[in-house]
Amino acid sequence: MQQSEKIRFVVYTTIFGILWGAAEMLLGTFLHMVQFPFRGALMASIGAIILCLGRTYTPVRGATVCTGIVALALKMISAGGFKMGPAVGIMIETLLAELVLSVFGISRLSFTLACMLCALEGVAHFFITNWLTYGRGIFKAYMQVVTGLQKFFGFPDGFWKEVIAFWVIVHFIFGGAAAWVSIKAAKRLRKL
Amino acid sequence: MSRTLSLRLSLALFLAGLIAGPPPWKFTFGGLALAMIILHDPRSARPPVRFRFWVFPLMFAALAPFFAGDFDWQVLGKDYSSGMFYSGLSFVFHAYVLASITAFAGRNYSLNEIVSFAERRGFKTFGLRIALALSGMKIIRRQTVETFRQYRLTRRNWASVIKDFDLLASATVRNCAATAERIAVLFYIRGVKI
Repeated sequence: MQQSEKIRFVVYTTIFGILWGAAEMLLGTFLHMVQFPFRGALMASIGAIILCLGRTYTPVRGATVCTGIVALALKMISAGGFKMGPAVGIMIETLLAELVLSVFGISRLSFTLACMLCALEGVAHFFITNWLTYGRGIFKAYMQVVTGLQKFFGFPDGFWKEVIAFWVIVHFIFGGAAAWVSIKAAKRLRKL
Repeated sequence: MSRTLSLRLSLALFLAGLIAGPPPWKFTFGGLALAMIILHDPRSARPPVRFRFWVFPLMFAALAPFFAGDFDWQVLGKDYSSGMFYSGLSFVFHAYVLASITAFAGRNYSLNEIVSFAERRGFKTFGLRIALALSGMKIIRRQTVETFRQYRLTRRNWASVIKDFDLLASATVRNCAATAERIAVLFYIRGVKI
């Protein structure tokens, strides 16, 4: 890589990282304050759009990870202080998007896949952060309580499965919307 | 004991507690991890975590035993599970240990130290990126807010705001790319070596 290309790589990925970090700091903090439902999926979708569109300007392996690291650093030093949830979310999303964009290149398929995986990361994120925060055995305890609550309120036995399915479907919808936006935006920018 | 050794030991003990199943092991490993950081920095044991963070785990520990577990106690005239209660307390304690370790790392390591650590580990441009991120944050933030305001002005309701979101996304990204290009040219002219 020539010196001018190295400079462009560092600057572009950092600027897109700032954009994601700014979105997390401004919109993410606001949504958290107003307790917006599915705010994790919404922020993950916005992050996925930035990662996909940012990659079109620096189509080099590792660019998405560099963007994510800057966003993570900004989130860590933001006014609210270090929060494990968003930090883990940014890290996982970045790695997923990097993997997809490196394997499939810049295409409609890769954008769709990256956005879907990033939005669905919210589902995995719940399990990872809960395991890290509360330790082994938390899910067994959750299941025992959910079963007890189902009996207490007279809900059918598999009711929790329907709740989880709804939760996953909403994440899917967010991912689909993010893919649609990133593909259309990339076309507008003449990058796809 | 040095702060790095304290952090490493507490992390190792925390991981052991993470894998350990029964509450007594969780309390033992968590207690030892906490002791490691308190020995070096006692103020880390008061993590700056909001009260709201503790509401869910404390409610879970107190109320879950009414609904699950082997009911061997009576609380407020209702069946209550002591095993579930201890298990809930171990989850709260585990969360407290994690918050304390995070506070310890935040209190004892500066941004400069983290940057030099990352650069020593091979991420050579980390310092430059952080400096650029901190100085560029204001520009990108102002630019993004301005773009959104302009976009919102021409759309009366939220339905049209959402419908044309790709336009907002492309305008924001294009503006960021333009800023990045200007900075890249400036770096090149000034002979910044990367």
